[in-house]
Amino acid sequence: MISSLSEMEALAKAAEPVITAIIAPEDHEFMLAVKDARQRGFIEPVLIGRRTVIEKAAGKINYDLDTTRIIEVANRQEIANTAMNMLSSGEVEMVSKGQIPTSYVYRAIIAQMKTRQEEAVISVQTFWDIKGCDHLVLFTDTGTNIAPSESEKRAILNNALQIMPLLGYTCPEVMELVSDSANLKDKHKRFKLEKTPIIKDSTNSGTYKRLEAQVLKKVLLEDHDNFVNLNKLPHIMLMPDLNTGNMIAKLDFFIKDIVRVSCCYTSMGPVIVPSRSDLAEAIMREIIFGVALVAERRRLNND
Amino acid sequence: MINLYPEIRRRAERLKPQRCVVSYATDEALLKALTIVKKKGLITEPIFIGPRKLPDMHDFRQSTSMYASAQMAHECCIRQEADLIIQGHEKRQQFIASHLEGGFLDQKSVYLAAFYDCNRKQTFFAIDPLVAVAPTLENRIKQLETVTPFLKHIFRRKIYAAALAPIETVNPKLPATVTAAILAQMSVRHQFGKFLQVTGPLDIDCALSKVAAQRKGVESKKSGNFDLYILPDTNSSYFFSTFLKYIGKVPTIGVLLAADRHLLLNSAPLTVSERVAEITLGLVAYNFSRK
Repeated sequence: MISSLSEMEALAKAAEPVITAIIAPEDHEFMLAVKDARQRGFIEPVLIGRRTVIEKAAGKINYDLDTTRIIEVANRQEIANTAMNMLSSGEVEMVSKGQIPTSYVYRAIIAQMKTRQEEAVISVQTFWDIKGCDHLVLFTDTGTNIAPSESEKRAILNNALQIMPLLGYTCPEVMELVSDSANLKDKHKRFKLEKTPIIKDSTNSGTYKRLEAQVLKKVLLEDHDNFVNLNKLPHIMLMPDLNTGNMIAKLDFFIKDIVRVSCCYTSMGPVIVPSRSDLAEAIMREIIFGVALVAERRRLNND
Repeated sequence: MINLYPEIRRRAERLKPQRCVVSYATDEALLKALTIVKKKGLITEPIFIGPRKLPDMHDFRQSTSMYASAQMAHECCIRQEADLIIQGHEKRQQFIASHLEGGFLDQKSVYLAAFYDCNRKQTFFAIDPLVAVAPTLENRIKQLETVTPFLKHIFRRKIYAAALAPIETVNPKLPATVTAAILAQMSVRHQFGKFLQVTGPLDIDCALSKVAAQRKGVESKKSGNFDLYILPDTNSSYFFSTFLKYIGKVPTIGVLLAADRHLLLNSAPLTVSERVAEITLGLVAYNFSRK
């Protein structure tokens, strides 16, 4: 079981470079991460977007593009669509978002999934590597579904369960976050965890382990004292809605003991979705994470 | 002893002693905190209501059930025996329900969470992890009308608030972005007075980091330094508080501000210092509302 992002980096280092479509790397921070990732042998980038803007961004960081493939596309949606077509056809093994709004990328993924006649509920998986916790923690959905319905939440959970085995989590613990204040004015209809939509009817199916009805506070606190045991954090936390998911995922901007990576894992491969606010170091981390996922996909396919 | 929440501590410096009633008091950490607050001259002898008398409970009144405890505490305030109600170990729903039935929590009620940023050595606040589950714009406006004068009293200056949403642009499909934009515009027009400036909608990264805001092209001079975070709903607000407290180890306290009576809820686990700070916050709030 992979317990930290440094272990993911070790996997990525051992892998052959991953051919990666980069969607609109029109910003020097993204370009810096791409340049660094290529130099360190993690990826072989294919840059998709407006050539002049890409060249300008590359020029700012002295990135010589002579040996880098560039596909010139002007329209933002077409840029994202081109990248997803390449992922679907196997021409690339990974896609990374550049400095464009993520909605273009999500639309391109959904279009591709519909073409492939797959369930078109996409979701973003955010992993936290937390100091003092002996495993990675996945939060989902942190990026796409505004107020997921029961069926959408089930799909979100399924998406998460696709990625966890790549990290060695064969039967992850799942908890659906429920605030102990949400039922404040509804004292006769307690909304306990075991009654939440996704996992109410599921016994241990073998693909995940359901946590008993508890709010986060009760999960973390040791019995009889107030010691917070971060090792008790579940492996997967299902978010109630986008407001919460988005808010929690980026708390690393305040809590310095957290390192965050996010991706939108699809049957075609990982689509990494760095935030437009991320700096090169954080973008690089996400690229490395994606490369490690591809390496594990390759290994499992070979097995 | 308490180096946390200096802004709150300063506002408590000249307060006259008040009387607290503790409903269903069984918590020894709370007793320790009350002893400290009493020594500081902020309270007189507290009234304890609960199932059994513990040492140092000089004014003790027996109550067998949590519900009866809450009712007795409520009555203490009506009879003006006590100024501030502190929740003991009864269940939160039960405790608040007894006050809901008393009609205390109206649209202006708001749970104000207070955090201490150890890096900046500064207090910041968030609303509302408790009261308005899915707040309407009207809820939010009324809550800000409650919170703004109190925070102005705490900080003694203009308050800078971030209205949070999942994205920093207005999208009708995301109601939080619309509410945030309206609140921001209302503050531009001084509809909350001249002492509240709301910026929004802001994604959490843009609110917490000036660099992140610049990267996203969002102009926000107060990024990384807001006094108040207005979260979209109770879920996001509750988990914002919970994650900061348990994973970020950020000292977290709060007070339920209501029109007629403020309540100190049991947000255990708290250290004794945090408890002292929380009681102090409640006393400052009580005194401010009485004025």
